Amino acid sequence: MSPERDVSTLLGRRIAELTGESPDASRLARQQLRLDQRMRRPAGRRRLALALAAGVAAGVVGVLVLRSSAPPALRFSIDGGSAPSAAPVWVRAPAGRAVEIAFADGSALALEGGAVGRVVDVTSGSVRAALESGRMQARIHHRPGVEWVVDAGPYHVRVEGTVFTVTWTPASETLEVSVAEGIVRVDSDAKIQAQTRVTAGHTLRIGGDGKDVVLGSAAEAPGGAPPVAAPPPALPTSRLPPPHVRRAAPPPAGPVGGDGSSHVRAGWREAAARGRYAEAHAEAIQQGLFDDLTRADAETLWELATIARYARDAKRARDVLLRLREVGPPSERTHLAAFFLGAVAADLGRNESEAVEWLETYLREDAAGALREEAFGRLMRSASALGRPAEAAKAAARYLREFPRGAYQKAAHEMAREPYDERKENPREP
Amino acid sequence: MPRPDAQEPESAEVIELALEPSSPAALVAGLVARDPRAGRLLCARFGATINRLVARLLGPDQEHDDVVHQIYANVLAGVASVREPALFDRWVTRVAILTVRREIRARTYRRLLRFGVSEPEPADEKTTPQRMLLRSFYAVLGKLAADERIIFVLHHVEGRTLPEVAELRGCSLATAKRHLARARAAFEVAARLDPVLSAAVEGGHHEP
Repeated sequence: MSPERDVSTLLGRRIAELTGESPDASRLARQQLRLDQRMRRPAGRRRLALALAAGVAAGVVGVLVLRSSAPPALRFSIDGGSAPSAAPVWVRAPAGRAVEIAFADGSALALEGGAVGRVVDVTSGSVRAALESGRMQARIHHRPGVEWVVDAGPYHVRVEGTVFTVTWTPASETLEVSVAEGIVRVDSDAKIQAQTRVTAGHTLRIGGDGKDVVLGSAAEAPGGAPPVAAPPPALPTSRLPPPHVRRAAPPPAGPVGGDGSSHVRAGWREAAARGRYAEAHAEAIQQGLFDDLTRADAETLWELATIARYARDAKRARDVLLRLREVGPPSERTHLAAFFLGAVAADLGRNESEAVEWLETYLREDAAGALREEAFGRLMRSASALGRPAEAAKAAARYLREFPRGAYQKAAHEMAREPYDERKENPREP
Repeated sequence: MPRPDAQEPESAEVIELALEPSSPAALVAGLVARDPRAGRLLCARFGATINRLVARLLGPDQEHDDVVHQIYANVLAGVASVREPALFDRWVTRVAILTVRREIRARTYRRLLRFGVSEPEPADEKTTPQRMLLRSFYAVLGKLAADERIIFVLHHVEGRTLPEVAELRGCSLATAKRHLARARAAFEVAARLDPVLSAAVEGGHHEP
């Protein structure tokens, strides 16, 4: 080939060498982060426009639109993480501390210290989790059309909206299910053929060969199942402090706890770590931990707020959360405190007006908060309860903008249809 | 000061179980479901290819990352329409090429609307022989039509065969050949008039 005809090839090869094969890792990481953020954002106007256009078309296009408008899978986060997680995911709780898997609809699965579990699959119609070993507390906010199943070895615990504890010991192949609220059904791959219903206040224990099935009251359970604290079913308030918060925990001889001896302090903390919140709450009161919150550091305040919420002690929970917001600089935890102040006000204090204020505060302070969807849902509910349809419609419209396919979209659409007169919200100056 | 006997509580051990990397179907399903891990897998699998294509089709560009992001956005927007996950690799490459094509055409229109006012050069760019060569090369390419430019780069810079180029560009082999012939003719005339490119050609001919 003549040199004249090689100019393109020659320069092309030279340019290929100069441009290289791959950008540097930091650039790729930045691009990945940007894509990650985009994927976590709800779809924008473009998708809506496409969906509307498709909706006009008939036949196949219509089917596609229906498929694209299917409700999304329930979102969840692990151990107070700000970013949603995705199934399948494997989780091990460290010894002595519970780890919570919190779902956007308020349901929660708490792995007690040392337990190992998995979130196997989460779709719009089902949530499947597995307990590999140890104990898991579940608080399920059941919604029609959503099936919850917890697998433990060969057994499947099917949930009908409830609070229960599952313990699975792989070595002895022993299953124990204690139900505090609602009903669960237990079946297995092979070892027991029929389903066993376990109702509130009862414990089912199945021995190693699957034949030793005992169903009794929780108090007389063969395995000595601990009493299960029953927090409000619709509240996502069982969130434990995020890992970074706990890592910042003070040594046992911190400023709280009376005489400073570690065994005194370990009592309520250990009970909380084991999920015995009522016991932890009583112990903390006995130790006077709620009496002088100015001496408590942020980590302890968070723990106290958690056990107070679990124990449905609205006043102490509120006091501690308010103190928590006073002590530290703005952080994810202080933002979460605002959310929980709203939740406590609505669910325990029956003060919807205060709930609205705190939820608005949370939404304002944490633009990327993990609980924004839940906060919007609560805001809509509280505004409705207060008889403020315009405010509820406004919250619904904001929610739909941010979570067009969110878990509360149906309710939000209904509320957003309420006549909303902006002039009422923003009266003109005289 | 922490006490020597203080023990920090362990954090939870969380392992995201990977999507099956060898399964394009799993990747497509993950992207349709907006699974963040699928996004990471998309970046890991196609990041190098997409960046290389953008760099070679556009040249050094201040908006490189924006174009790459737009490609990812277009992939997300269209992934639900993928019917054959086995051909997902090729589909992503086509989306990348189409996105860059759209960008080139948009820039052409913008330039026309500015009535010949040229875009400012990056101020902080140091002049090196390599940069001068790149700048000259893409200045010449900038005079070609979008399709001619793309086909030229895919064939001469990317080293893809003409049937491959035709498939990626979504045109017939004859059309690809016609575009390439036109692009080569225009490019080679302009390259010989450009001192940097002609020097590079001369130097290239003398390389062992």
